[in-house]
Amino acid sequence: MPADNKRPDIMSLDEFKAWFVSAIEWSPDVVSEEDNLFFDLGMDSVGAVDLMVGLEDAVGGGVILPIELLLEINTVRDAYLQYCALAHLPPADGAKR
Amino acid sequence: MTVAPEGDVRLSPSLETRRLQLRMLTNDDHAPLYRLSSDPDVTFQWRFRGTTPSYDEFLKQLYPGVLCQFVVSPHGSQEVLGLVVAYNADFRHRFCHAAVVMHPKLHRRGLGIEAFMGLARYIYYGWDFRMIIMETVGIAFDAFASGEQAGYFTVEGRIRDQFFYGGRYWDGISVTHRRDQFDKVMEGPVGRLLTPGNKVLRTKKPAPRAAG
Repeated sequence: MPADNKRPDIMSLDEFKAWFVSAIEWSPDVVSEEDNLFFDLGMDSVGAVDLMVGLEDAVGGGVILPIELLLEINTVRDAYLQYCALAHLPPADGAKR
Repeated sequence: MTVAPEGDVRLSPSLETRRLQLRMLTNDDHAPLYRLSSDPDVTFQWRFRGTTPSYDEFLKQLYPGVLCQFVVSPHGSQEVLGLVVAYNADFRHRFCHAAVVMHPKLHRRGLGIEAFMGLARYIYYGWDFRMIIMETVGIAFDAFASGEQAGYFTVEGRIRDQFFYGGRYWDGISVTHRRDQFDKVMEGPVGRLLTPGNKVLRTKKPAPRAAG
């Protein structure tokens, strides 16, 4: 993922944190990018489902978050990075998002 | 032949979920499952509860009482990520038991729920069961406990301090996932777990360059 992301349709980290708080039901009112989803925010398997679906929705809803990306997510920052990766990866088979 | 209405992912015998395939158990899966069953992070919460049966004994216990069971793998791969099992079916009273075991690297990632929902869809499609019962241990239950509030299941029974792991006693917990709960949760985020989507192209790691 390019570090100098300029795509207007992709959230900045601050925008992502605001989105996280509003879109993820179990999120506290404020999150830090360093927050560990499991230990600091108490994410369990059910919360992980919410996050998976939320990230897919954030990039249009039609794309599958791959298992490899999912396993990279431990902190809020990780979630943001994988969101960015998901937004940049081209759909397979020429499918549209 | 699928007789479900087109586009209704709730009524389908499909064994494909969004990220996973539930596939038939083959001889090639026995050794990976044996290793998984004896993984320290799995064994105390699964069938053998920390004991180390021989490989032959493991195989003998793999099928008795099973209604259906499937290896959990990623799409397009035979990698063994886990196993979902429906067992001890009671056709008179219309229920069965189910269990899910996943590789420890996948714990708390939501993939166990995705695998379970794939199994539940298959069960509710094929049998007129009213409920699926799961027996679990407090130490494992913690990983999905919020599902009760979210309506995924109902805790029906709890035996206080039934099991001893990690230097303390944990409750034994019985939960039910009823057909109406399945229908209801499929309308929320969980429903997405069973819908197809567009895969993304993954960048392959470059092959190692030959020395010299």
